[in-house]
Amino acid sequence: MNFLDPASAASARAEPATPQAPARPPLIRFENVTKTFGSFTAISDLNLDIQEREFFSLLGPSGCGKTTMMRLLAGFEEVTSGRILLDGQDLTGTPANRRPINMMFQSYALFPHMSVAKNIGFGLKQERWKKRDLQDRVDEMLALVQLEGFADRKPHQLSGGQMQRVALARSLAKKPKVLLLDEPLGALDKKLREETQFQLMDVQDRLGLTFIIVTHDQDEAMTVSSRIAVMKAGKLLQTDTPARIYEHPASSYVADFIGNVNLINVELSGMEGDLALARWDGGTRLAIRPQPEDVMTPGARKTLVLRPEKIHVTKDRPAEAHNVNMVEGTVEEISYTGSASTFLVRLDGGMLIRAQEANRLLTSRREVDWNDRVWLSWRAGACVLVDA
Amino acid sequence: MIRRFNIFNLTSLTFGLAFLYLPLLLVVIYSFNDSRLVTVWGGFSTKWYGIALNNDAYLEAAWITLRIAFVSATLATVLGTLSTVVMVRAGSFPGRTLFSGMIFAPLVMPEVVTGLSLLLLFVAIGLDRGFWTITIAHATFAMCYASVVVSSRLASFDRSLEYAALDLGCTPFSAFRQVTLPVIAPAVISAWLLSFTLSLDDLVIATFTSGPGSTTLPMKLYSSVRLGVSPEINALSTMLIGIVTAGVITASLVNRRQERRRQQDHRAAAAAA
Repeated sequence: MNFLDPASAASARAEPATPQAPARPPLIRFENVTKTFGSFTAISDLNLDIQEREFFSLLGPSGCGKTTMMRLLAGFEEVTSGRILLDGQDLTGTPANRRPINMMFQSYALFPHMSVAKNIGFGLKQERWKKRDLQDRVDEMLALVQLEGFADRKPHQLSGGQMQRVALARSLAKKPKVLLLDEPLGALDKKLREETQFQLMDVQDRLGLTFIIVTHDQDEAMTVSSRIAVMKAGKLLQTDTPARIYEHPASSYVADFIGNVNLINVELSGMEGDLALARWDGGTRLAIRPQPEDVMTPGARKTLVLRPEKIHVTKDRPAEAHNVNMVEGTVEEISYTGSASTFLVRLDGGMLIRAQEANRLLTSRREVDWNDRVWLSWRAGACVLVDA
Repeated sequence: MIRRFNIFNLTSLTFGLAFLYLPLLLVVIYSFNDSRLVTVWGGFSTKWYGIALNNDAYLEAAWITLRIAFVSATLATVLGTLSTVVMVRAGSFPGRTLFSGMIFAPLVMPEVVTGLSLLLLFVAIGLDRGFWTITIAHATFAMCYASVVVSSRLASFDRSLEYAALDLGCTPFSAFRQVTLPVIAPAVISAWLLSFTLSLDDLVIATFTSGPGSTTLPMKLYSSVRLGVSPEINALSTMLIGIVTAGVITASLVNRRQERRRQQDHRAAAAAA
């Protein structure tokens, strides 16, 4: 399957500013980049293009190399082999202080002995800006993050959210070509994090900058990004828009990493019209609408990726249709999360399937209960196949 | 409920403090003794302070001691800070444990051994013993104390502050000067004060490394005591106790203030998180 084509990613996200017109060279290009620390390989022969004005997420479990990629870009580490190009120019050998790339640190890294204004103006002072211009830019940045009136505070007099905004203002003050954000919202509570996500998107859009964010929080990556790269053990597994990563994962690993998923091993048996037919272990017949790029060889073993919210849970057997799959089982567990309920259903074959229904009715009116016999059904187009 | 001052606590506190400070207290009390005889109380007087302060030999020794303490403390602080920064920054390299052990070894080395080895070194390289040899010797042993003080602060120093400075356009040196040094300044100051007091009251190493015309105050006191304790020496000792106490208290106050501020920061961060 081919999901790695940026042009197809661009068409999937309907946004006028999306810059993947084929004529333009990428803003950032990783070319066969490898980074090793002693015998440990953090990044292994990695290729990646990032376009101007993208909000790009590097997503992966800790130790997957995402932070190393950021540190390579910032100039805190040098590549072991390969090269990184910015605007077509090789960054190798350019120290961190001469790169037009700034970084917002996970710990914010505000200088504790300087006021908010001094922190924000620090980068400009290094470039020997005139006092007047420096003051103007600092004021502009304070306004951008809505911290007017906080100029003379010290970092320890700020709340976490305010510190985060100062750190953002400081990293934007030099108007870098690229802003790197290392787990920028990791230290904030959930509510504040959601607000701040939208603020980040707004700032990125208004300044027209390229943002690269490192995160292990998939919800965050889904919310803010125009494209996501899912990483594992120093390699890119899939680079795509959030919607395609979620709905058309390139592998069962990506599917499992992003959100909840049921992974079902099936064997292809043939085609019926435009639907592929597959047999599930014992013989349950399933219909799947294949993707254009899927290669359907009868007899091939594949993994069916089925998201819980795509499954319908009913007590009565749904109406038979050629494009609807259905199986029967017993409700083993129901977990209630307010807006939705998740049902763990034990199929007669022994397999546990996770299904999720929005709570359209009050819980007291819910018709499905523990130990009920239920039917799980989903449409042929609501699931995808990946290589087993 | 725990009673804070019951008989047992009070007694052990009194005995503990008495054990530590009674000898010093006697020196202080007898420095205000009017009598010539050290152990016989003859009424209150400050005359011995006047006499001690008019004794040129003592004054000269005190002046040398202060100069040595100042220069050696500065040397020790600079060297100690730099070596600590390197140790903390360098990460792991072959022989790291040995190297860091070597920085701290003089802490537990008998002073006689340190003094003797330095004496042998100075003789071997043909350095005339005097002001500079004592200063170098003091800097050598005070440096490890300075390292200990600075390294405890550097260990909790957030390295990303330095990266942030680099990222915003600083060279590594200016990042150290503009960010690292101001942040660890309280520890550096307290390292200096500690080195200063260590040099001020050292007798053993100074004895080994001094030469003609560079007798420090502790040496002078020691040689005078061998000829008999005079109230004048009590007065001088009292002044020395005063200076050292002031130094140590200032160092700990500086450290405490820094610690408080750091806790404040942590609380703010925790409240925000």
